[in-house]
Amino acid sequence: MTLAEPAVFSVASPASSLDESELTLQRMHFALPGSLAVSSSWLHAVDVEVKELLLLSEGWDGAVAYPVSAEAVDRARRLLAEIGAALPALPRPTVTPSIDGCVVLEWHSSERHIDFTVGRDSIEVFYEDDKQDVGWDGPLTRSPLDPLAFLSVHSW
Amino acid sequence: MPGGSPYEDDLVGILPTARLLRRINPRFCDWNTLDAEGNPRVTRQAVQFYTEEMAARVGCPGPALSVIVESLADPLEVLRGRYAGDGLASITADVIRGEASERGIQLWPTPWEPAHAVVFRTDGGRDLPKSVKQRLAEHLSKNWVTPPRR
Repeated sequence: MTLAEPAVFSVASPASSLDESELTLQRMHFALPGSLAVSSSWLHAVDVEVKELLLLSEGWDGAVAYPVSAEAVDRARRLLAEIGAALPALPRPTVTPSIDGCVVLEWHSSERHIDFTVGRDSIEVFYEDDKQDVGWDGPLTRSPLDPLAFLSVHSW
Repeated sequence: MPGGSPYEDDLVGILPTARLLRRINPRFCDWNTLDAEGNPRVTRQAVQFYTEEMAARVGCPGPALSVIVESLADPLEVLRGRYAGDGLASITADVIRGEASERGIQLWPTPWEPAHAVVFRTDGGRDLPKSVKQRLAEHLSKNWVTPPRR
């Protein structure tokens, strides 16, 4: 799987209640070679970090920031579980809230970056690879690259 | 906000070399990535524009990012007290504006911050592209004035 290779999602998800972002993740998970149901060592600690964002009250930054929504937290936790299961060797992500109530999960190195902005209704992905001049910003469901492949082929 | 911005770039009052301070909430920092002095990396969440609704609540007419014009600001010790718990990092006006002046800066004093200014998109856009926010955050990461406490 190379960076230039478009994501191919050919495995149907059995969970019909999930929305399109989550279906995309499930398909990516199934498509990754070597996917194992093994959790990353950081998963529990980061899961706690994400849940703690619910403690932020209205105005937690600049007196105007919105609280992080429970839906965004739930969605981010599911995303983390998916990524942690698919890529157990991945280092822990940085977890930050955004002033509009989203949860941002990011992996960053000096040459590349990927983050997932998890909102109440959607997941957006943003990635950049300076060396390969690759970048994308948009809905996860429309990403031209498989974000899990982007995560898996690089060292962080 | 199609059709332009409600703000006006102050090219005379805020020269390209002017230093601007950005308040950085420690929650916007990557504490897993520290520089040689032990200061954290700033994430792009630190430079997200206020929404229109948030901006209205602080008396601004459109989406923008708050900064402080250092030359007009109270002494640093006063700022540290005013924004206790948060960090302060600097960036120059030319970096903010960008090579093609895609962004502007206008002084917008408030009752609690006389040196307050807003960064806005000259096309009236509601937020900066994430790639631009990444670059601005990288600049801020290299120019801590007062690092935040975790």
